[in-house]
Parts: sequence; structure tokens; C-alpha cells
Amino acid sequence: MRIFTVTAYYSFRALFNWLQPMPYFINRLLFPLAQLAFFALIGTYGGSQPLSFYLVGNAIGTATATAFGVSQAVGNERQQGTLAYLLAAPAPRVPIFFGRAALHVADGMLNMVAALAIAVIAFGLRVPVEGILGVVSAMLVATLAICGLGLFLGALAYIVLDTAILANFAMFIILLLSGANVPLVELPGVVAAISQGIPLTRSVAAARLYVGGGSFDAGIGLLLGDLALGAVYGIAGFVVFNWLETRARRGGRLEGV
Amino acid sequence: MTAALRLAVQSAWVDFQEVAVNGFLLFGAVWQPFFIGVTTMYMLRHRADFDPMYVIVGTALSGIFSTLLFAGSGAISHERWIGTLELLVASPASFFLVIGGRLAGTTVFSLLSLLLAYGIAALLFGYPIAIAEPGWFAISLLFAVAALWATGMFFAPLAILWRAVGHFLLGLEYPIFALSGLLFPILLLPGWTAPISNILPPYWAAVAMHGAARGDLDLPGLLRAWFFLFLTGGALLLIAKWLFERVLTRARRAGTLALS
Amino acid sequence: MLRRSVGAIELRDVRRLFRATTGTLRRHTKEIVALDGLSLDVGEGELFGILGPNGAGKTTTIKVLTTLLIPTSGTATVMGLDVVRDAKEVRRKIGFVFGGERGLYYRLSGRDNLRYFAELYAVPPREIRSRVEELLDLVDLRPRGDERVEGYSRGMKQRLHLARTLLHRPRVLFLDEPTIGLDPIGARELRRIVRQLHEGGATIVLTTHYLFEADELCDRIAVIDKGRAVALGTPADLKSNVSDLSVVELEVFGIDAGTVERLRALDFVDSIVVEQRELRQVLRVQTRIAERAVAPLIAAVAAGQVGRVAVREATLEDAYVRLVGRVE
Repeated sequence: MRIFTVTAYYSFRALFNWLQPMPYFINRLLFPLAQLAFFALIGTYGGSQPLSFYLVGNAIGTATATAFGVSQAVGNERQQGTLAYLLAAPAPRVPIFFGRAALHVADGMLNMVAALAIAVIAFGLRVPVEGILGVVSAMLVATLAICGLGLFLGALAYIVLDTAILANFAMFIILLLSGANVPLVELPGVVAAISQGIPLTRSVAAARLYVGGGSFDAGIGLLLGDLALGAVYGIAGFVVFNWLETRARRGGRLEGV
Repeated sequence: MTAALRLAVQSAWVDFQEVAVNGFLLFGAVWQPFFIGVTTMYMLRHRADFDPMYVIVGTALSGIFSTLLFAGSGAISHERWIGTLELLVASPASFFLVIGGRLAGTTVFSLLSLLLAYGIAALLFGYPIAIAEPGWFAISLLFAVAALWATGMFFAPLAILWRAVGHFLLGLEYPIFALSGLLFPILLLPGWTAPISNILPPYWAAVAMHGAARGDLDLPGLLRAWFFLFLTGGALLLIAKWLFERVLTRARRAGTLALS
Repeated sequence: MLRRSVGAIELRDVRRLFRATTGTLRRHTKEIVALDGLSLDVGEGELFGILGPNGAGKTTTIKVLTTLLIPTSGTATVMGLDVVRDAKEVRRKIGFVFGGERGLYYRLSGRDNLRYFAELYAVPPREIRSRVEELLDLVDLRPRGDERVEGYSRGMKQRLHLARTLLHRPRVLFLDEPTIGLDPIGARELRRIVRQLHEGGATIVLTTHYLFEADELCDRIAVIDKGRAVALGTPADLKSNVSDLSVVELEVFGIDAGTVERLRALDFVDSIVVEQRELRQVLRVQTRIAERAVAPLIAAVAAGQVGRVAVREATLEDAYVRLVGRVE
């Protein structure tokens, strides 16, 4: 447990040690909100769905920024050359790996709370009192699911691409295919199928359900589904990471594949 | 004068070769516009007065701006990173011109966004594409691209003047997209943002190009838009020149031209 | 050949401070004095060497002279032009090479790199092609001129840098540790080219770690330490400073610091440099009493620990050690 918290703390600190409060505020809060406003206004202009559709979709969509942070944290180990030392250390692997994601979960939640606040205050989104628990749950599930994806992407980045590019790709695919801005029924068949395999699709649907006045139970299936998906991605990431390590130890190349 | 032009062209060519394989710039010029374009197409196509050119123009401008924002902010630090900054500064050539050439290369590259946006509308979605005033559109595009290049030049020294500003700059994408009315009219924004929109080159680029594409802007309106493109772009270029001098002198005082 | 005429390069009381900040929440600023009132003259056509340990200020000096650093105080001129006020003119007249692999466009070929820098240095367009070929020949890179720089060896990159610096026929050249990291053959090649340029009349300022290189190439040498000049003269002048010294080289096995200190304390010992070679150490003892020092030295070291013993004349390296107290 201690390894988990220690890893989380240092991971977060390492990533943000150039940060003073102001840049944090700007980068992690102001700009996801700009993205929300941007798409909400396009949606208003387009007029095919009510404003609340876009507000809820993009508020939950701000969770995608967390994937960036998590995949960077994993991918940075390679860039900073610390991967070799990490793998050689005797500490158990799982807490280290998942500890990476921990503080980002908190960070992601903060993002979404801010997004929702903007949606309510600036855009007049109405959330029924009985829906608050559901919405908060949807936000939490979304963050966790995205973290799972982030871990997977971070591990994948060792093979494929730069972490930032990969995470940005993922972010856009999710914004396009999760139903955040485009109703799933409008997407062509094959693409709609992909929607089911990415995090956030179910959380967005659940959040819309709760904002629309649905009961908590009605959305539970969706929430669990997204949580499970996130777990699958997280475990996949862990597996890839381990596989890479084995390969590297055989092949003698640890810092790049 | 010709020497300056030669230098600029050569710098552009050097940049083009480097940029063509730069993942990040590909992202800004191709992938991000692809996603924005497709998403927006879905979002706007139900409008009664929908014109695919609107999405093409907005998407293209977003791609060009993003690319120049990223390339501009990183232009000087990139040279520092690969170790050529000292060589460039200590050469008799104008550093401003060298970076200007660099960003010109990137600007040409960023026009891929336009091609891509067209491809999305015409091929992916199968819309017939018509430009109401092709001549005015072409001129508007030229002026728009020049003004956005000037914006990139403005970002270059700004990004390294203070480290915090560099991080801040990269987050400007969506606010600028919104304030410039790229993919929705700025009328949807609160009234107090209008003056901010008016000083942004991308805003006037959007006005001119949207207007020429749809034919709903008369010649006086177009001329006005072009005038403001010149004004805002020119102002940014002058400020950029001043900032370049300041930044280099500061670096020579502080000893930060090299990485170590 | 020594040709001294009025200052190609002049440094007068140049000071250069750096500010370094540490800490994230509470930031402390400390001042580092890189140059502390340095004064030097280099005549036209001279091959002038600057020696010194790490952090002595060698590179800082070069960067001031190449207009990349503004001095905190004092003046520096190149060919009579002030490096701060007349920076643009100075840049037209100088060329410089910093050691290392960076500073080239990797995706371009060697030839294209040179063409590009030729534009930067306003080489007349008509001349660029021939000049590039001439220089590729000089540095022996012509056969591989069309290959991308990313495929060049370190030595090739250094030679390309040298070619780059000569494009505009500069009157003054600054070479900052040009042979660092090169294999012996590559380094020898580079030195040959430097000698050739010197014979052609260029004023060259060379910084180096390699004392034998300075000895071999330079007309005059300045030794700087902690930002000041501690010695100035021809290699012969500097060696004459240690003409009274001999060096006893003792090969020892497993000697400890306490013993070295005891040896240092002997009154006939000027200084001792310890060089580690795998399992043994070589002690270089500077002394005025030459062979007569051998016996007391061996006695001071515990019996059975001494291997080879040799006595020789002091070299430039020993002069250097005497000046800065160490070798790095």
C-alpha cells in the first residue's frame, strides 16, 4: 500500500514539478473548459440536439485529458531513462503501476467538477437533485475508465508512438465516437461498433440519463460496463508492460523498442 | 533584398524537410483537423442553411492555426535543442528572417488541413462543394495564410520569453477557435468578447474566407476584412520583430543560447 | 611562425557572472563568476591556445568573443570591433566550431548543410557551389557529401563543422575543444587542417584539454583558472617555468590517501599527481632534486608496494599542473 501512495505522489510530482499554481490552473482547468464551450457552441449553432446534450457530453469528455497525464507518467519513465532502474528495483510491480494513475484520478475528477460547474453557471445546465449522485458516479467511473486506457496507452507508447500523440489520438477518437458530440445513431455501423469498445461511451449515456431525471438504478448497468472496460484496458496495459520488460531483458534493450 | 529572399526560401526548405516527418505537426495539420472536421460536419449538417464549405473553411483554419501555434512556439527552442541556435545567432544573417523562413515552410505544410477538410466533405460525406466567389476566396486564403504566418512569428519569441507563457500558449487553441468564429458565429459568444475577436487575425481570416466561399459578403465587406487581416497580422509581425531582439539580447546576457 | 601585430583580439578586464536559481518553492539565487577580470591579447595571424581545467572559463571566453554572451563588465574586441556594439560586423568576420555533435541539420546532407550555412553567411550565390566543393575537399568529405548528416561519424561531423566555419573566409577562427571525443586518427586529421589554416594566415584561438595539442600547435598559450589568466607565453616560456623541476614517476600498488599526504608533506616535493590505472597508481612527483628524490620517496612508501620508477624532465603538462594544481 505504501508503495502505491509513494509512487503516486512522486509520479505526480515528477510530472508537474515545473508547475506553479498559475500554469496548473490554466492548463488543467481553463482549457478543457474552453474545449467544452467550443463544442457546446457549435452544437447550439447546429441545433440538432438540445444544449444539455453537448454540455453533459463534453463535461464528461473532459475526463479524456486524464489519459494524457497517465500515459505520460508511464511513458516518461522511458524518456527520462528511469525505466531500467524501475524494473530492476525489488518493489512489487502492481502497486507501482497502478500508483501511477492514482493522483491523476483526483486530478481528472477536479477537471470534470469544474466543467460541470461551468456548464451549470455559464450555460444554465439544470441537474435535478436526485440525479446528482448519478452524475458524480458517472464522472468517477469515466475518470477511472480513462485512467485504465491511459495505462494501456502508456505501455503501448513504448512500441508504437510518442505518448502525447497517442493520447491525443485517443482523446479525439473518444470525443468523436463516445456520443459526446455526435449521437451514436448517426454514426455508420462499423464505427458505432467501435464506440462500444471505448471508455466513456457508457458514462456519457449514463450521465445524460441522470441529468434527464432517470433513477440511479437505471444507469447502473452502464456505469458498471464502463468500469469493466476501463479495468480491461488497465490490465491489458499491465500485461503489455510486463511483456515488454521480458522482451527487453532478453533482447538487452530497455529504453526503447 | 534578394539575399534575404534566398535565405528565407532556403530556411523554408530546411524546415519543410524536418517538418514532414514531425509527428506533432502532422497531428496539428492533419489528424486534429480530421477529427474536428468530421465531428463538426455531423453537428452542423442538420441546419437548414447548411453549406459544407463552412465546415471546410473553419476546419482548415483551425488546422493552419494549430500548426503555426505549435511550430511557432517551438521554433526557437527547437533550434536550441538541436544545437543550431548559437550558430544561427552568431551568423551575420538576420535571425528573424531565418525563423520567418522556417515558419513559412511550416505554413505551406499546414495547408494540408485545407486539402483534408475538402476531402472529408467531398469524399467522406459526399457533399458537392461549391465556392461562390473562387477569385475572392483565393485572395482571402493568401492573405489569411500570411496573417497566420505572422501570428506564428509572434508566438516564437513569446514562448521563450517566459517559460510559463510557453505552456499557456499551447492551450490557446480552443479559445482562439471560439473567439475567431471558425465554426460558429461569434454572435453566440457574450458581447464583451467581440473586441477580443476583432484583434485576432484568425477572426478576419474566417470572415473573409467564409464570406467569399458563401458569397454573402460584398466587396466592401471583403476589402474591410482584408484590411484588418493586414492590420492585425502586420501589428503582430512588428511586435514579433521587437520581441526577437529582446529575447536574443536577454539570452546573450543570461547565457541561455545553448542548452548547457 | 610567430607574427605579432596589433590586436586581432583584445580582452580587457572582462567579467562574466551567471545567476543560478535552485529550489522550487523557495528559490535561492547564487552568482557564479565565470570570468573574473580576464585580459588577453591575440595578434593577427597567431595560433593562440587557451588552456584550463573544467569550469575555468575557456568556453565562456570563446562565447563572449563570438558575440553569444554579453560580458557583465569589461570590453572585448575582435579586429577592432566591439563584440557587443558591433556584433553584426564581428559575426561577418569570424568563424567558430564548438566541440560536439550537435549544430547540424541531420536530415540534410553534408553538402546541403554547407549550402544553407553559406546563405546564412551571405556567400555570393555564384560562389557557393565551388566554395562548398572546395571545403568538402579540404576536410576530406567530398565522397560522402550527399549522405545525410545523421549517418556521419563524430569525426565527420566535426570536420563538416570546420568546413562550415570556413565558408565565408573568416579572418578569425575560434575552435572550442575541436578534437574532443575524436579517435586519435580523426584528431590528428583535424590538427593537420588547423595547421594548414594557420599557415594560410588565419588568426586562430583554440581551447583544448590536451596539453600536447597545445604544445604542438600553438604560438602562445594562456592558462586560465577560475576566470583569470594565471600564465601567458609561448610553450617554451611556460616550460621554462618548470625548468627547475624534474618529475619522478612511481608506479605503486594499493597506496592509501594517508601515504600520499605524507609524501606531499616532504620538503623536496613540489606537488604530486596521482593517476589511477586499473589496479595500480602512478604517482607523478614534481621535485627540484631529481634522482636524489627517488630513494626517500620509495622509503616513504611502504616496502613492496613500488613497481616501476622513472625520472624525466618536466613537460608542459607539468607546468600546467604547477599553475592550476591539478590535471583534469
